[in-house]
Amino acid sequence: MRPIPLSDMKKGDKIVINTVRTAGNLRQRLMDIGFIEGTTVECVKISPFGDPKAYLVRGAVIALRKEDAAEIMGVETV
Amino acid sequence: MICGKIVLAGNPNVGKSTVFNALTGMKQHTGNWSGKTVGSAEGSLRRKGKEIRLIDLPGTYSLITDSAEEEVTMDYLCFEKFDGALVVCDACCLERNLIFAIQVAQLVPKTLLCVNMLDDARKKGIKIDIEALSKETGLPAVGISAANGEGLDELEKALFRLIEEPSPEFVPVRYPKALEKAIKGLAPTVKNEYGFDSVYPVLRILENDHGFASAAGKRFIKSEKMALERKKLVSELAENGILEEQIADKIAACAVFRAEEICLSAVTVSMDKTHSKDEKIDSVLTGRFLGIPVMLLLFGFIFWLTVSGANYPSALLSAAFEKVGTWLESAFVSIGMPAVLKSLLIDGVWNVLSWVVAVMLPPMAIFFPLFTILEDIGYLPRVAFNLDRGFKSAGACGKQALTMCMGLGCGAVGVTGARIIDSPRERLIAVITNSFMPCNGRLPAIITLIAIFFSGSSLLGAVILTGVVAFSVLITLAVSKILSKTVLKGVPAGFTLELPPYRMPKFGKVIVRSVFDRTVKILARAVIVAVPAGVIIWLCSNFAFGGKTLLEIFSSLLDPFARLFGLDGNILCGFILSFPANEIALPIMAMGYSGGELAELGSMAETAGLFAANGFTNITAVCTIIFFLFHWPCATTLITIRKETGSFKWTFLSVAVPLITGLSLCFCVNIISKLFL
Repeated sequence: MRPIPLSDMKKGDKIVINTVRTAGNLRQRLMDIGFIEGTTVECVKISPFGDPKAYLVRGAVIALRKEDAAEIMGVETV
Repeated sequence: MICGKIVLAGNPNVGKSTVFNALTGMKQHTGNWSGKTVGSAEGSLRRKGKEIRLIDLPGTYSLITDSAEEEVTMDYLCFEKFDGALVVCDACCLERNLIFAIQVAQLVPKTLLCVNMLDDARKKGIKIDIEALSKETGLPAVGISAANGEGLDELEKALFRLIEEPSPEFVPVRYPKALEKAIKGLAPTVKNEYGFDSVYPVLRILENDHGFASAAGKRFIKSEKMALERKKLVSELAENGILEEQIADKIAACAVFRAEEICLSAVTVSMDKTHSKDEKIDSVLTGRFLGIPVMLLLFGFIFWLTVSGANYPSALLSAAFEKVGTWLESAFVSIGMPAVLKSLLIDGVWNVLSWVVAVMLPPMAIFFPLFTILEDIGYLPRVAFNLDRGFKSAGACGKQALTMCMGLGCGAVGVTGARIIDSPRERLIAVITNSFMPCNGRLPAIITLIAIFFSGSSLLGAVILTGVVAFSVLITLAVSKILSKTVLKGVPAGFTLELPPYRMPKFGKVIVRSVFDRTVKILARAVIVAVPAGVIIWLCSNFAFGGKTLLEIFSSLLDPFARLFGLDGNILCGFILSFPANEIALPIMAMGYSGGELAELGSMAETAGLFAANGFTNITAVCTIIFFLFHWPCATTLITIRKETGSFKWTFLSVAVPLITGLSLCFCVNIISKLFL
């Protein structure tokens, strides 16, 4: 399966993260929250203007902007 | 007898402040959003003659950080002296919380786990096996629901045991073999050079973490020996296939997987309805078509309740004040007080005081509890989620919506709250534009002006007020954009925004807390300022030079300038003199118009008559409302801005930006009205 970025997910989609390309401070923050390889992420909310989207990760709902979510790639699960 | 000192740490919004309040009997503010507590608080837990000092640190996702908000916690845990740490975790989201708990346990030998909000978790079908948690981690653990007191007694006992008994046997995180070897290799040097026993600093030094290095740099002399040792170990790691830039990721990943492993044996989710109820609510509150209209309706509704609910108590209060005033006056006469002094006390001090209380107290007492309910439910982060797109195109951070909401209560609180914004550039934007949100000192004045000039009904008044605040939000976005294209150039930095689960607020507590803590506090400040202000204004309007009072001289000097902007000298005078607290702006204006002899200030009809008699038109009212929104922050807020930014330049800009904004908008309104009306 071809990996897709988190930002392309639709509400209800689930993926398993396989790459986190984010750099700098945000990378550390994402790690602390649990956005790391092998983690299942579900897109649960999309804000009224389509960006940001919110993702369910390790029991918490975290919103990310399009640019930031685009740096995280994953493979779709069924 | 103080037998020890324990710090409270944990992820943001896990109810840490609630636990702290329950243990110490203190009243730290709480709210359902990340970043509510920005400073640290200290209190005492007493039991059977023994006392533990508790320090409540701001919530943080990690000890590895470059952010201002989290630095406080990192600094304290790494470098201060204390006996143990209490890590508060949210039962609904234990896995994520354990990632942080593991970091703390790697640093502090005496770490106690406290799983909070068990009641919420139960409702969601999440079961936590506290015993298994304790066994898996090797740390003592207690399960509680701080909000309703469940398990608090057990927690207190556990805290005393933590201090009195030897350190628990924390089950260490396992790292890949090569990494383990490097950690073991570096540990003795770190102990020798810096004096750390725990593994945590070794990890940070090995991965060359910036935040830790700069914090350590302030306390220790740079160690060449350690740098050499690290270099050697890092090149060994590279030979084993772990490159230098991968070290930090590997270390972090091991902790995350460890947390996952612990949860496998400690957490059971019986039904998969964890998020379904919240999803339903959110499909309305953050929905594509409904999100924004519902938000406007919600704020409009709160404003309507404030506007309509405030009228009646306001009238009652002003009648009561008038009665007491008359009574005081006759009392003063009967004790033979000189007429001048009596006039000073009654016309000056008493009248300004009664205006401030009668006009300000009712809206505050209604608005604050309503707003606190929104906050406790967890709605505010949704506002940020809904509006973030706008902030992004303005080059700002979506969390600015949260600091703006705080600014609706009090500007100084909004400015301090801006610490939740990680990027310094975006934080400054939020600080400089924070005064655009009408705080509770200005909101009642705006409500009064709307009521006098634009609406007979409170419903229309609320609609107009919602429009006024929405206008202010748009101007905030526009000015933020201008700032990020000029003095604060830069691209938006990435950030994460947590949307907490909705929680049922404790209504009784909300009312007590918001009325007694917030309202009384802000009102007390207004009253303290109102008394001397009453004296000064009375003096200004009663001492005459060459047939003109000081106030008249001052206003007539300002008048030609003020008229350019659709205001008049007296209004501008009111704004300038109310610099200590915005609450007194309107009473000063009224006193100026009435020549220092004002009576029955609370009565709407008389105020309307007084203002109209002095040439106050609808256009003047529009300009005055605009100037109320955008002039300069009050003294308290400015002092806070100076403290938070540490610079006079940004403090100055925080005055200049709103002032220029307000003057240009008023100028436009004035010109347009002259041309077309």
